[in-house]
Amino acid sequence: MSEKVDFVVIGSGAGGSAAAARLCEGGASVLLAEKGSPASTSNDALRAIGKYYTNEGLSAAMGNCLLPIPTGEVLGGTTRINSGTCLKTPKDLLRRWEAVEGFRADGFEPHLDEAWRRLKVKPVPEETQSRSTKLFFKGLDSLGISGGHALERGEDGCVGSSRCCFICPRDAKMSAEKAYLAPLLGKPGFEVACETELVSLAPGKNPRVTLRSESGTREVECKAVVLACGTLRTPYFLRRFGLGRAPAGDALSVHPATKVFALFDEKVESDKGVPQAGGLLDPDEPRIRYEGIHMPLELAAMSMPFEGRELRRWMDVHERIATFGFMIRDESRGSVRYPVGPRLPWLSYRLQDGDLARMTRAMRFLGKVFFAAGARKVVLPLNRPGSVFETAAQLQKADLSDVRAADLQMMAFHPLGTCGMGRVVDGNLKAADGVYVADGSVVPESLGVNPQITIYAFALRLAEHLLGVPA
Amino acid sequence: MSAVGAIVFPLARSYAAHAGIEIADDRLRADLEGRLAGAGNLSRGLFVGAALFVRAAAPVLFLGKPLGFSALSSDDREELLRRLQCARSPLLRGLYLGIKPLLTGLCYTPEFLKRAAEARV
Repeated sequence: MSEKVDFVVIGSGAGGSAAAARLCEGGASVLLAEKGSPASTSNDALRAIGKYYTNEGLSAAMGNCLLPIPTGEVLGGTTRINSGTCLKTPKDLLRRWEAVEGFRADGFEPHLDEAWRRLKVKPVPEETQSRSTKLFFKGLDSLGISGGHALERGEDGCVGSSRCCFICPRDAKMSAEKAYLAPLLGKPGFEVACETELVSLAPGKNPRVTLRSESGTREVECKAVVLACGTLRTPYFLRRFGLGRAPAGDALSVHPATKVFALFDEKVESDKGVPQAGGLLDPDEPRIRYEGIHMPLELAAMSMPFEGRELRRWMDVHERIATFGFMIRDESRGSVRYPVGPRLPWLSYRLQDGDLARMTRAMRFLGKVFFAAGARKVVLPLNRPGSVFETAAQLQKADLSDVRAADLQMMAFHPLGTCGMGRVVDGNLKAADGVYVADGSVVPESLGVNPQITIYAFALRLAEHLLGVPA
Repeated sequence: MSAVGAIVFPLARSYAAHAGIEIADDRLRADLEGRLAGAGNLSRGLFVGAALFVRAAAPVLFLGKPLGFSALSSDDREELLRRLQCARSPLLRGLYLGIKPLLTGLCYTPEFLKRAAEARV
């Protein structure tokens, strides 16, 4: 027998949680289905990756490079495993998106503000900034480069446990389920069903979904379905059920990212403090954004571009190694396909020459900053000989023109665009009658900033549209 | 020992020994089994494939030497590990990097890193 609710939301990340909450707050009955389960805190990063990362952390795009792309499969989605950094959508992009019928920048900005408030976004205070961040700022000062700033994050009670990406042990990060779902749990007409998957979807004036969990299947009829399964999974459902103005799964942007290591004489203890505490937009190349990053001790060795005895030598001095990272607003694009179903998507991505040049430029810049801060050695994230430099002059003179995409040790944390607004979904994020999308897949282009606030805003805007609230 | 553990353990032991990290066999076995118990099917499958690759196929593919990883000379092991880390093929590097967190996690534990730091004080 079919159940009836006003709205079904699939996925509990930034988009799903915000949409579900806003719909409920607007008086609608909502069923939110999430494939993952609630997370429990622990101090074991490897365990967290195995339990709460999609495919146990083994998702990677391939093409002319290897690009791991971790996402979350847990209540709260990827917001449960991200760094918590919040940045608003660049205004020039909002203006450009007005070319999509139905989208207006001035109608979007209030939702950015709402998400900002709900996540309690604030700058990282100096006392919880990592030593790596402070060395980065010191290097900038020494070089006379302005613009370095504390990043802003959604948190409530953070003490710098350094495990933002591995389930905060204090539950201080304002992830999607904490900010949007927790206040509504127990409210009549609002249900969150964990470990529940979407099996089928029939669009129409009153769309129907079939959901499956360990306890069986449920048929649910509603006024609209909001797909918020994430950039790498929502396209599966659109492709499978033939939904969307164009086929979903292309135009994948990811913000390829990496980090530079630097050895200092002093103790850095880079596993302490907020990992992503400081930032800088490149003074000359606006597609490069520098942001702090470091790994917990149990993952430190994994991320160094060394092996064997050479790795051992670096790990022996690990407490003196600082790290800082960057990401690129990519012109490169990729795609996602599902030859064996949604559980093992095939991700492809080719790093184009322009983005490759930005990667090497940014590495060299970070190395220069670290030397200016007093580093004894700098390690670039290159899987090839000649990645270690002992002076700024040596780094400056190094010929990196033969670096290939395949040499880079990179990751990407912001997959976007596979159901882009204006291409696959319309200006109101509609894919088909009664079917809408509200996750990173609708962001029409590479953002250049951490995307969660943008995704929250898209979802809040959609919810108000579904409630009939005037834009 | 589990079936997966039995395949991975010889590599983990050789890897640690090569890096000069002393871990008693029973401690290494216990830590490895603990890690495997917390790993999902996908990870365990990758660990098996990667371990067999590194132990048996990689020496032939990268060094032209039909010897198991443990039987290689120290210099050859170092070169092989370097080539695995630097493999330009995304598939090969991905295969190796799939098991690297397990191997390094067993060796470079927080306790090891703290001891290394204290050793220099």
